[in-house]
Amino acid sequence: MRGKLLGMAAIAAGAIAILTLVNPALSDTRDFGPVPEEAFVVGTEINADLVPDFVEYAGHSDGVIGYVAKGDIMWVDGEEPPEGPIPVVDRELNVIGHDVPGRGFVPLGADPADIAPVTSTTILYD
Amino acid sequence: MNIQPKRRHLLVVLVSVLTLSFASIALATATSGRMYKGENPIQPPNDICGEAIIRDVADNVGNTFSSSNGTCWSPVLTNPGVLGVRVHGYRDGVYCGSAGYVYNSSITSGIGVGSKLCSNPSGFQNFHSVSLHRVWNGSSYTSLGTVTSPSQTY
Repeated sequence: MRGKLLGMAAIAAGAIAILTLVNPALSDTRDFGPVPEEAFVVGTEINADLVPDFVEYAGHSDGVIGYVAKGDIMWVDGEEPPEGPIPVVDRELNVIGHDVPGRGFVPLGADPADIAPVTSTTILYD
Repeated sequence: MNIQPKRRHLLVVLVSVLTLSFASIALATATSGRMYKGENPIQPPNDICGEAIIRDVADNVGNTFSSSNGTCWSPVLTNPGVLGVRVHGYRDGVYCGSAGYVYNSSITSGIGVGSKLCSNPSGFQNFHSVSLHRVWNGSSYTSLGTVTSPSQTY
């Protein structure tokens, strides 16, 4: 009986291993979601350890339209986020557009020049 | 109306809690305060300080300041191009986008950038700003990390 159980466990483990090789998504542990409130540490860096791999992205819209990699929007492991446009992806990690600083979401194939810039103010202090 | 002392005390406490709750929603601005980010490499031993603010209404602001050694509140004028700042906006933890980097184009003690990066749909949402800071070191820009604002509800 014990031998039968061990045999079944070995078969199951082997099946999972094979399925994992065939479909990498089964071993994909990337997660998606908003930055949790406890990650916003006032006065210093966002605690990136508490942040999902892909952060919900809204641009200037009311709802979530995609996701951005957390390393593209915050310091992670001592690496500064990039300054330029960053990819916005769907749950399957297909690029659906870019977030362009000062402009917002630019869908794939669209010209950033056709997207109205976000109004910003520069402040000089004496 | 004659309210017993115990119930009157409870009523006072309840009214105070409700008043404070509404006050925190009605407050226009939430700031991190000025946080030390590093030494000014062009003008040692002066400091570079950063600040992240949520301003009325859902306005994301980031500031970079040059200040006397040991304090963030004694302005020190710096040459053009020395100070840089960028700001990111979040609504309920969802990333909205960024504005910047901007650099001081004249002799100043600080540079800031402000932009309403997130929409503000009806109902209440929590907004955060995260500011990013740079300083010129004589040959390139040194990044000094970020500052996170408190949340502000609108």
